[in-house]
Amino acid sequence: MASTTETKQKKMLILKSADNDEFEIEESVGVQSETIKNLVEDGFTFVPLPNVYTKALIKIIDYLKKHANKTDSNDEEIKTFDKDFVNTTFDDLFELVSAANYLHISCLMNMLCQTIADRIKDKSPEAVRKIFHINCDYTPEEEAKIRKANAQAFEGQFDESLD
Amino acid sequence: MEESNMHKNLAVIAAVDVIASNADLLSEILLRLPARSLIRFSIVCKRWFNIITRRQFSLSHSRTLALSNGLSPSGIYFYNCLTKLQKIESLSLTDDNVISLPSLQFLDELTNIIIINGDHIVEVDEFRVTQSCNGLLMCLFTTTSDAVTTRKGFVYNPANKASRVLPPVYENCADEFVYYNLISDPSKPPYYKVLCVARIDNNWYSDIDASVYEPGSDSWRRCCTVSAPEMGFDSGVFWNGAIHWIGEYVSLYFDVNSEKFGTIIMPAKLQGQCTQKIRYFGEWGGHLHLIQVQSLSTKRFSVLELDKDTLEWSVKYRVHLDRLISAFPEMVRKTALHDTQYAFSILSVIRGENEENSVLLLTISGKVVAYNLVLKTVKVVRELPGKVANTLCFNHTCAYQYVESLNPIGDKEVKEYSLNQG
Repeated sequence: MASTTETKQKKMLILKSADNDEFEIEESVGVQSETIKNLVEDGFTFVPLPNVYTKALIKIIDYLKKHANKTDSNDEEIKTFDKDFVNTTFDDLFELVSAANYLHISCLMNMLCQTIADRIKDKSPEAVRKIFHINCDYTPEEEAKIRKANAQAFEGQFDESLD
Repeated sequence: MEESNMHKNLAVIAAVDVIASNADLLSEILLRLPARSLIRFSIVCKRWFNIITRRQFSLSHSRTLALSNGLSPSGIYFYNCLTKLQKIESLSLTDDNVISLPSLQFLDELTNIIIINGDHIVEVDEFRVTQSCNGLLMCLFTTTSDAVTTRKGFVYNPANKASRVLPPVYENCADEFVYYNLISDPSKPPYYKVLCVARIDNNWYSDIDASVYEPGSDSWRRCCTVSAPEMGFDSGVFWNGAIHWIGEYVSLYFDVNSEKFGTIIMPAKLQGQCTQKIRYFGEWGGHLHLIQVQSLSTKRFSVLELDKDTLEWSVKYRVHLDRLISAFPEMVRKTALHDTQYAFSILSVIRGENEENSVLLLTISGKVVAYNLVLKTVKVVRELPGKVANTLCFNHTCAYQYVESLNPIGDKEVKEYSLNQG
């Protein structure tokens, strides 16, 4: 926790989530997000984020704080933090990726997209539909046709689990 | 509690909607999947199908894979030189649950392609894979139409079935003096090129002429004419930015950037009467390998590797086949002159991530075997049909790497695994 005098010297920003919670963070932490950086450059210190819910925002602020203090010596620590950060449910990952996309935080986007891809790559199309909350809009005939034309890609056992 | 649950659901629904409606965001995730997963996921829904089959997406995907070193071979297609069978076989080399490689039994599709190209009644007489480069196969096929036989070059991606018939080139040269070579670099446009080398005077001693085809063009661009030793120019090996071919005293290469030919001195020629000393020439994981044998009775040979900086060959592994021969005595053949020969054909030198996983892949009578180059152990990889022929003949390149890629090949927007097929 920074002391009161230090806090006064540092430029602070207030972020407001979609569910109306407010968070105070240092400007230097916030500007890792391109979206926030652009607003700060336009003179804003109060940043409403209508597309980012509190739960995701708390996690993202954690991430930004950790990565703002990147030095040569805490490389391992950040790696462990990142690993824990993505070790969560698909629904949480989707919230985070959609928030990171809105906030334009490219290193976080890369990490989240890679995590989602790695976790779905061996799954069955049916499992992927459930994970992404997608209703299939193919007729059974259409689906059968694509399966037949690409038979090799459907060979083998796929992961049906949803986590 | 209830309120927070409601918020959670709202947030999830909002996030799922964003991912579903924002094609750029969804593409960011999909770009990081292997080609095989993507083809499978094209049946998730029509929206995913449309993103995955888009030409621009395929190109970005190949580029992403190339830049992250994700283009490692997951299998090989090969011909078994030991038998007279001309059937192409395939072998998956991954440990996961991939059972087979995409089938190359697409002669029917080929006929369709030719009809699309404007010909009338066309019979495909012969079809052969001659080279592979980063997921694309160079193929040749001969067709007969109105009693005229033509040979054409054909670029094919087995993963997404994308294909391209090449325009004619060197029409005054006999087919045996025209060689096609594929150069594929998925990391930057034009993503692939084809190099055609021809002996313009139709004999083994004449100068060679080189032309390049790039997708989007309807014709070939002439590059240069140079003199060349007596050697063939098919099955070139793409390594270190150049296509390499092996000859008796020198090997030749064509540098893709400068579009110039160069030569590399061959290692000392082995003694002996054998005419087919070069038994393997190929690349794996950025390493260029060469295997020469003294004779058909050889049990011992070296795997040579070319140094990138000095362009000199040096011994990487020494191989002694004693253990292999005692495990598979069917390799031994007694000739009429009471000579002992060993029947094996080398498919590939495969470099593992760890040295202990580096193997030599060979075909012997009825089998493909993997000989571990470090631990000297032997494993049967699969059974093969066909009987070993009476006369042994070899090809220094008979295996073609399969790399999963969505490289779309064509220059037009074509839904290769389209709903509207047929």
